[in-house]
Amino acid sequence: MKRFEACGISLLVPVGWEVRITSPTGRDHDDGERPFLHAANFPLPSRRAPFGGGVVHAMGPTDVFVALIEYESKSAATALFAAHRVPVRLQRGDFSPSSLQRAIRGQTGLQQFFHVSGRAFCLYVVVGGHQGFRSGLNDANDLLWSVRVNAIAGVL
Amino acid sequence: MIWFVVGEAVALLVLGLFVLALVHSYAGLAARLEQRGGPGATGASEDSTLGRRARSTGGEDPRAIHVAGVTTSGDTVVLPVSGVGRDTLLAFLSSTCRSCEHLWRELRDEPEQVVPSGIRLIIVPKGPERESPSAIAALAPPECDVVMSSTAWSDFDVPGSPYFVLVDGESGSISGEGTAMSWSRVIDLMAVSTSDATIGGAGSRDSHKPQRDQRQEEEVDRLLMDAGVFPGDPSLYPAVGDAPDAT
Repeated sequence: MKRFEACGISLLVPVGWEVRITSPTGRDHDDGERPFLHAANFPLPSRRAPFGGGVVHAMGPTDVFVALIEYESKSAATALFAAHRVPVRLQRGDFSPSSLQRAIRGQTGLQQFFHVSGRAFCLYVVVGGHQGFRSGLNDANDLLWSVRVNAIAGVL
Repeated sequence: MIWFVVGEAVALLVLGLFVLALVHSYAGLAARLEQRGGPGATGASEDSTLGRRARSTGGEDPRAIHVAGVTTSGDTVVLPVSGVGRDTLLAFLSSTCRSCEHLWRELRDEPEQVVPSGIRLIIVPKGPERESPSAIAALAPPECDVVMSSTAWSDFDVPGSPYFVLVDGESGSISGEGTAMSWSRVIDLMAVSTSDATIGGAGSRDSHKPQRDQRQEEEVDRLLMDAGVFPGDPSLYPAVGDAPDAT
């Protein structure tokens, strides 16, 4: 399987999944917009907000949406981002409707913060319905397991 | 005992004649290819059948799984063409190709109408090192998926623009490919291509055929398609009055 990379984040993309990595344009990495990665087992629109605005409202019961949103590098040293690796082996019990950025009937979500290679991230996953756990959670775990993050020059 | 030996000798003779006939047949095809010259270059001037070109993959998985590149705004994208619920039409277009002008114009005027709703259209210009992202952005409607990728052109053996590849959404196999000057012609040819696949069965290949024979057929198909000879081309069929090759 081929590895795809952008903004120092690389991963393997499961069959049938779509990935879009939006990178900051013309700005210093530590000042302003930061990259965010979206992955899904359904087609993603070209315009999306980092936490899935423009995406989650149209999700169906089998759909799974994964977002990796980067924060400023100095956040990596804070307690909120204390976990030091990409979350993997997500299970149904890790999800809750109260974790959703926007509550939508039938959906459930997960938010976990972590840091890796001196960079701070939030993992945000939305599952469209019960069928989504059967159809998409294994692939989402495979995708997350494959994520590799490189340090940004000058940060470490 | 002697009859067994004689029978064996006869069988060997028949087999030898069959091999000679096969070699003669391939030689004729190769000669015909030389006469026609190489494949079409950028700016093909006439429609061709969206035929099915078997590919020599050197043992690698021939399925297409993803198309990866960048959007005109610089995002990195990986779009699936296999393991999805619908077929994908890859349109290899260029901002500088004169034959592509009509296609871009039709796309801008009626972006929702150019392909059937059950098929995902992905526009694939070459990468930003070969194509201008701003020129492509000016031509492509914002609702169209655009993946700028020179690698995709190489992976799909695209001879020039415009060129179209239809990928089966379930298997990732290539259902058909070729060139056309209008979207309506592309759709017509896709319909022919997919009906051929249905008639022929899954992958349009005889599953009982020995693999070596199948590989040879696929290699001949590829050579013919490279030379612009697609299924249905009149040159593949003998004219009335021609004597059949002796076997």
